[in-house]
Amino acid sequence: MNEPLVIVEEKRSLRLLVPAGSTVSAGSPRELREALRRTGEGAVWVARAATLARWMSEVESGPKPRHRLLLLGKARAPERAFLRAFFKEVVAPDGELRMLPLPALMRVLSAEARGSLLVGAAVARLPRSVVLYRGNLDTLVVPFSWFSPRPGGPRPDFTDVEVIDHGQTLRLGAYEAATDALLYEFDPAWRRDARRRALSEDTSFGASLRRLRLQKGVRREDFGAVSARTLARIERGEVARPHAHTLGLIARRLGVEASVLGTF
Amino acid sequence: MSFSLRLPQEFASQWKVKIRDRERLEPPHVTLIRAERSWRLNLRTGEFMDAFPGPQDVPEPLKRWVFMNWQVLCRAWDGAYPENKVFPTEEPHE
Repeated sequence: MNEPLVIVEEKRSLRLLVPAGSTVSAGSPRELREALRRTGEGAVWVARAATLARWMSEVESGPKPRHRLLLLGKARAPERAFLRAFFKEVVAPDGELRMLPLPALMRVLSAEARGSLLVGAAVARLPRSVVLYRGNLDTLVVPFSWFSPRPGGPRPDFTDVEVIDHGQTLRLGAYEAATDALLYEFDPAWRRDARRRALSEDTSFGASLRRLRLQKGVRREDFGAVSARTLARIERGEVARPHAHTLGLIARRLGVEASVLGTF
Repeated sequence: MSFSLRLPQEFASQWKVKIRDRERLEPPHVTLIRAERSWRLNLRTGEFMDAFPGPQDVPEPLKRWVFMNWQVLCRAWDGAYPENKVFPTEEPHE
């Protein structure tokens, strides 16, 4: 379950960019006080620095310590310092940090899977890395060396960095990296979740065979004439048409008919 | 440059079908992208890889277009990721 998204704005134009009912919206100091009451331990806030700082001063209250804030537009140093005292994290666009365009940004922030999407990116020269901001405002630091070019493909250009495809792709010049590939490699918790989802959702023959084998408590090494390597390749779907004889041996070891191997 | 399948006009403004320069490698797949949602399609089996969002949310004409271009997509994947081709030539002979 996502933490709530809180939009603080005078003109109420941002809320038009997100699905109805997906946010807590504050259009005045009174509504800000109500938003502070309604949000729990954690929330993601979106606001302009001047508005939020002024209204928080008026209501003489701020969010609980785990809340994070994304500022729209430039923030003056005193306002930013004031807000940093209340929020766990304050993300503010500056010369280095490049955010998604506003409509895409708001859609990502209000998405159920916002932690799996990017909202912005910046390049750090020392150490040489790309700093990525996710929709839940967590950061991910990825070294330049991870962005290896493919055979005949473009080289990543770290002077031209942009998040595209509503947070699903990081573009470095002509080079593009999938966000899920980045998360899979650099966020162990995300990787565990992804693996769990994949194993339970995969309806392929190989996944079915793997589920059956695990259910029976049989190791890949326990299939006699069928090597562990071959079994692993079948389970991964790397063998387009396993031999009938091989499937028969596997089925016999698992105590089922070969015809039902793909039904688990 | 990442591979992007050319789409009919009715889909081109809202959908992208991509194989990027850096993808999760296993299994070989193509990603259908619409706004903040995406659908991964397994190039070995032709099946959608994730239960959410549901495959039924992908318009049938777009699915047909993707399957019509299956060989193009497989070649694009194999060209980008030769160490993990859609169909490795080796097969078991136990």
